Amino acid sequence: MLGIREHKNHQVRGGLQIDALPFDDIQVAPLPSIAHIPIDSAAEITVSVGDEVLTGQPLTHFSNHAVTSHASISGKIIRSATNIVSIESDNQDTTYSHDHQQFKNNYKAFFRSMGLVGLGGAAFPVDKKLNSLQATTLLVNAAECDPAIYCDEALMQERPKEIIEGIRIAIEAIGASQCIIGIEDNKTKAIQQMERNLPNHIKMIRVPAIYPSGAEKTLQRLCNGKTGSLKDNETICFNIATCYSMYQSVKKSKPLISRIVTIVEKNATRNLEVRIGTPLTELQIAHNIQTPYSIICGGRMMGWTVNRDYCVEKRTNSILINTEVQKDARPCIRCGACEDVCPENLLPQHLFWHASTPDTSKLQDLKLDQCIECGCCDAVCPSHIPLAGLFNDAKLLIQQEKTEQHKAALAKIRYEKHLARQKEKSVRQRKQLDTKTETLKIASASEDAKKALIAKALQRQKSRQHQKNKDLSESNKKPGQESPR
Amino acid sequence: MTGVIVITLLALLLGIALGAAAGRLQSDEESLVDKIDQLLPQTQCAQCGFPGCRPYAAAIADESAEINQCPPGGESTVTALAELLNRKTIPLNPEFGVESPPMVAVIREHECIGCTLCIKACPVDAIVGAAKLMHTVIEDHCTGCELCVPPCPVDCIDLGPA
Repeated sequence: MLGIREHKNHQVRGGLQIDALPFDDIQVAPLPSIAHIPIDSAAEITVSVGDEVLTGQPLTHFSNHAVTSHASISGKIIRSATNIVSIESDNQDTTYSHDHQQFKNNYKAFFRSMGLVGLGGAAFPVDKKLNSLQATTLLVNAAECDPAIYCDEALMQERPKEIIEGIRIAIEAIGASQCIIGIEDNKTKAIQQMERNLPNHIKMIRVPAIYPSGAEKTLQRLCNGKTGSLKDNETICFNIATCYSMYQSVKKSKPLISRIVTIVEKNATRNLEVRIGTPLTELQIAHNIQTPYSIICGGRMMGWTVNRDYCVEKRTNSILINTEVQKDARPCIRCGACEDVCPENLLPQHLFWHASTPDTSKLQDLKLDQCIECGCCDAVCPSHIPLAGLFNDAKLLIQQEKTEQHKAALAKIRYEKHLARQKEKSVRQRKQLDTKTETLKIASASEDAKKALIAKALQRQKSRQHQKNKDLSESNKKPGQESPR
Repeated sequence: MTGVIVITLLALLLGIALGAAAGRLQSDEESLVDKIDQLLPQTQCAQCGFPGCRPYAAAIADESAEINQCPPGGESTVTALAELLNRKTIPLNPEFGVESPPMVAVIREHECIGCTLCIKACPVDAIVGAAKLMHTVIEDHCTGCELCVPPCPVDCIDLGPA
């Protein structure tokens, strides 16, 4: 497990209580010499190699399907691929001036054009969240999503006024009638700073600092426990860093080109304001670590390993240097520790048992789809079984099975239609053949009948010719109209 | 006299009951074929020796075919069928083909002469085109049954991994 055992952690019912580390104030990272900006795959790039761009200049066309990407530094484009644009810095950091007249009173389009995505870790586009029509409540997530991330706490301590201004903008954009901030109760300094600036109509609810309080579902449940007014489809949840970026875009005309990243190393925990696209090599990370280590992005509990070439993305909330070697998994001893800590009240031990069999129906009965993959079960497992990872694999498998079943059902429908068509055709052909045989029989019976048939055919031909002539003369009268065949 | 009436009534009632039961039993068999058909991959490839998945399902239901004749479904389908029918799992019969990763047909479009033969052969309507015009395979709809390959007069259909 990702370094979790090095820290003091207490298992509690429905989660883990982990002691927080002291951390430094937000520092602005030095301007990178190069930035690799990730581009939405559905976006159309406007710049080409050799172009000079300014800080904040859009790199993609504004569209309804993709969030716009912006240059995070000024300089020259040195690479332009489908999903990445590299900019070489000119060290000037000249700012691009935006024109927002076209987005007046249209928050959705404006946020999309400013490249705003959720900064909690999932990078879900802000405008898509705003699409929820019945939303009446804004839930602001001020609880960190991981015990080793402090970027939101630092932001609240240092820039509470801006955050609250951002929350006001979010309320207006949603048209919400109530707003609740959910904050973990151990962030005393942040709570103080926020409360000092908080207007009356925004409520702040303290939730216990037990991981995973910061998960959207858990936070909503925790806040609901005290007010009982949050309904699933009527609540939109934004991270406080997202609210801060709303403030930056609306009041300062700054697109999302930088974010706060928590950097956790053995001896220090720092919060850096980093430009999007900055390579890790320019952040002075792990430069004096001798032992083998891995770089983990996205937190200690739910993070994933990245290599040294990684560049900061919009979703990068933390970079963690992990020196702990992952231990090999041993067989499950059925201690039940995982069941105690599961915040969703699932039975990880049973899920693990069934995840190793090909039958997925049992997993669905045990509500695998409710698993938020928080990794609490991993952290407490004395056998070091990577449970959350296995559950993720199983979820993907179930998803794949469902897709295949859906595809098979569609194929079946098309096949049945195909068969019906073939049957209809054969019936039609049979009928035509029967008519022809009948006619031939009559014709071969007597000479008179044959003549009558010929006369009938000639009559038919004549009437058809007559009709054709009539149509032709009509179409000549109305030029421009196509004559029917 | 009473005896005659009672017996007649009884016979009538039993007749109705039997009629209803017959209907019920038949629908049971129907639903068994349906259940088996649901487990089959619906490629309609006829590799099992039956003209489509449903005929094979019917043959399994009346026990005239084994459950291990479906190569596209593979071992997982055999297992699922065995569980449904309460039979032993048996390995796939190699006579009918071997399990392979999902495939899709691809038409080499510049070689296509527009003969429409593959369109007629496709059991799931996954090929679009018109006479003397280029045809193409709708990748999402193709089940990889290979039935379009033999009719093609210019051999311009390949099977590739999905």
